[in-house]
Amino acid sequence: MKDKIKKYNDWLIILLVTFVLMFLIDQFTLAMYNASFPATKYFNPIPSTVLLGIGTIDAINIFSGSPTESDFRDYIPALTGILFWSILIPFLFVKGYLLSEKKGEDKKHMLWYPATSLAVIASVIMFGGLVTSIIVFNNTGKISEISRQQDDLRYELSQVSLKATELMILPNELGGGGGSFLGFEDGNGGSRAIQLSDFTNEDLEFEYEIKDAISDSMITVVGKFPTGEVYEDGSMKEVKIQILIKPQAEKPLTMTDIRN
Amino acid sequence: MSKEIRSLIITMVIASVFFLIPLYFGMPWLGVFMALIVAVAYMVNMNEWAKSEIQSETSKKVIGSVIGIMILVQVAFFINDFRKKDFQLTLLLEIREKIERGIILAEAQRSFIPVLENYYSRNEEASIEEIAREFLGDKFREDGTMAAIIGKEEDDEFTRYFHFDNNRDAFVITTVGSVAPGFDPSFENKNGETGKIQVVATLTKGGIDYERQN
Repeated sequence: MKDKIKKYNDWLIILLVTFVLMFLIDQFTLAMYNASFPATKYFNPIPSTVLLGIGTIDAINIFSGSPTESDFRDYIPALTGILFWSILIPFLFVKGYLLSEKKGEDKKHMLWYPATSLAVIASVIMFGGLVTSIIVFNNTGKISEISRQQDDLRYELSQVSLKATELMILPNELGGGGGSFLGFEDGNGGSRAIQLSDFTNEDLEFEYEIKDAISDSMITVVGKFPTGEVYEDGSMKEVKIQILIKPQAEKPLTMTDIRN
Repeated sequence: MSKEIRSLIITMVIASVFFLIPLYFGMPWLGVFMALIVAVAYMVNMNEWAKSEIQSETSKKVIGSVIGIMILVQVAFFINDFRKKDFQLTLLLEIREKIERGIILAEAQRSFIPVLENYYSRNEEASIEEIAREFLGDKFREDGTMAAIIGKEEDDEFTRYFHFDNNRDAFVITTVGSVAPGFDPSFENKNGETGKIQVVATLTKGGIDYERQN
């Protein structure tokens, strides 16, 4: 039993050293967050994330109409990360084994412990990070697709409401309601309420409905699309957004998300 | 200096040169890719070195596995990150495009609806231009541009041009966006810029015509 534990002693030490190193790296990174020379950023184990970070900052600047600020020096941490984690650490890792073997079968050289711990961080721990990164990116893609459709629906609802408002104002001879959502000609000399077909067409991307209560100065239009997910009862999950159109009010349009 | 230390330093110098040359020409992703190729080759070489120098089969297996995972992690992370390198910019520009076209549409609504409503509800006869000047006169500038309809003047990034077509009794607003790209990157905008969103909104007594030109 004692021999069995002894066999794993070195790896238990590696486990401990790995956790201590990760804790220290984390603490140093946090402590240097606002430092003038954040040294830990030069030891990023994944060089491509440095480039993604710079790309994100540039993208935010472009989005806000500001010039991009990244320069040559910002990319240096990607190089130092490669030099440290992918060249120096593998060298020290192998060197640690070689020195240990020279020392004797059961004894490890002092270099073996930190070098192997860092190699474990650069391999096993980073592998976990890789899997997480792929999962997060795929989920972000799904969420942003729904968000993209929601934005498109909001825009199309604005277009629809402009058309509905315009028709409400136009006189009957131009196909409008003469100042009322209830004043449209029904073709038999009478009047009717505005209908969906008056202000929507088949070119629209989303599905719309008018809520029942139409008054002469107000209508509510609901736009929706299915998310692709299904409820337990078999019905399709939908995103619904409604717009309250009151052309004569101080705030003529009010858009609200409907949760279902 | 031992042979392996010399080899380590030479590898670091080669990786740095392979990284810095593409970076100098504005290709950081190529720089990282080239430096990683050097690093992967070095890791493979380290594994071969370990296999030839180390006697213990277990140690050889551990070294081979750890170096193998290190290579896999670096290569897979690079491919995964390279795949999403344009994701943020594309997404943010898409959002920006939606914001800009949303504001332009809302401004058309805010400018035209009161004028159209007044045109049909007032008792005395007036042209579209007269009513527009009554409602929006403070927004019209002498050089033919218009101030922001929504939001503060100091935050305004759009360029708007207005004119009245007296033959049609039409009020026309042409709006050019500020950041988001339009459909055609080579489109020449009215304000001299290229590839930005451009919308022409026209109000006549027959209603509103809304045309996105780019």
